[in-house]
Amino acid sequence: MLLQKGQLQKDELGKIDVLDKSAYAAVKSSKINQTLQLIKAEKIKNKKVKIEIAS
Amino acid sequence: MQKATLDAVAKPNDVVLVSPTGSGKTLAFLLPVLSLLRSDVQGVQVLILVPSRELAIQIEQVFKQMGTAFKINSCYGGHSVRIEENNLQQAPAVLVGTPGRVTHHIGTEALKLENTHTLILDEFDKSLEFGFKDDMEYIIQQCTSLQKRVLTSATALNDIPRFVGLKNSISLNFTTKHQELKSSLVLKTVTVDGDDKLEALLLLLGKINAKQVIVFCNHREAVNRISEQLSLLKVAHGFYHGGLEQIDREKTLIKFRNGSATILVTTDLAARGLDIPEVDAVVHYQLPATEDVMIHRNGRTARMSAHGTAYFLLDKEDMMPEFVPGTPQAETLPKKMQPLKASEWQTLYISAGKKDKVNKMDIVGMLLQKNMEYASYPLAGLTC
Repeated sequence: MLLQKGQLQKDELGKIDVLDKSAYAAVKSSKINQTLQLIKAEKIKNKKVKIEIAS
Repeated sequence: MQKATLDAVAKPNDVVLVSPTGSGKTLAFLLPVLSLLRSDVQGVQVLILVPSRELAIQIEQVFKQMGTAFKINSCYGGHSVRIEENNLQQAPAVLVGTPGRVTHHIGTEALKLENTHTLILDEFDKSLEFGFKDDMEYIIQQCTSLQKRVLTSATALNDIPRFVGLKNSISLNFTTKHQELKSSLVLKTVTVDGDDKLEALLLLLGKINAKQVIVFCNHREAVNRISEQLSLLKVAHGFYHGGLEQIDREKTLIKFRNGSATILVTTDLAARGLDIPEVDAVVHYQLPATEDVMIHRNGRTARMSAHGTAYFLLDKEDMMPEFVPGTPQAETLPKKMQPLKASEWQTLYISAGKKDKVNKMDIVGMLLQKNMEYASYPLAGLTC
């Protein structure tokens, strides 16, 4: 399963929305670049996923 | 209001509930519905019809948060028909949907409503409007064993069409009695010097420094135009109207709800029902055409016990509509634009979802510190 790689404190992670084919997680602006670097190569459910800052 | 509704729905009568925006109508009709659900009945028992897609999503989420044993699904235009058909194979006890898509599923026989005993029309004055009428009449005809109808909105409708089939209805109207509830809403006018309304909007946004603000326009074109100009000026914002792809509509609202976007420019599509507690200001960039439209727009702020302000932007040609109550205070604009605060939050997009069996805990697990317990993450505030 997943590792906790993002290194966020719980008050740095906001609302999470899971849709049919995508998911969105709010992260404190000050941490988001660091988090993205840490997890961008992660797999979810053994599947490579694309993770990026939502436009 | 919720107590009175609970009592009224418990009786065998139909109920028409008119109650101010932000007073908790969704829970008021969902709570009593629970006692009407039976675990030994197959098929959809309660059908909730709503006039907008995102309202269907919101009600589905509220019901899921209630943590009952009963299944709820939503169906609405722009959503995958196949996913919805799969959901309907094991019919949920509660179905919430928009009239068009519900009609579609009846047509393909994916949805059967013969066991539906309770029908709820949320924002009924909207969903019984001209454009929805044919679908609504057709759907209600399919509900052959209907025993109860519950109609709710913040604004009433003088003539409820006969096909709704209301009988022995109890009318609950909290809009006059509870007006003091809305003293938390302040109305203000902003007079635009010259002809640059957009500049006035920017000056206003800079001055009020709202946590979250919704800017209402009357047409999609105006939303697009303002949005383009805000983008040119590098003002972060979301824009929302019925002409967008469904995924973009949902993404925009997700980013507004989670605080990544603090400004939402929209048509009246966002005027009804959406419950976003942090909105502390609404701006009528274009004046509302009717009193009902104004009530619903203003109702996006000052929800429950929170405070909020509604601003009417008036240029030379704009006349303050007569239905605006009282005498709004005049807000003066500064000469110079004050920089807008950047949002505290940003949103990570992840290209996997429910179809990939990904749930919220998977994402929490990936993002939080390794030494943290899953259990310590406050789940109550999350929606699924």
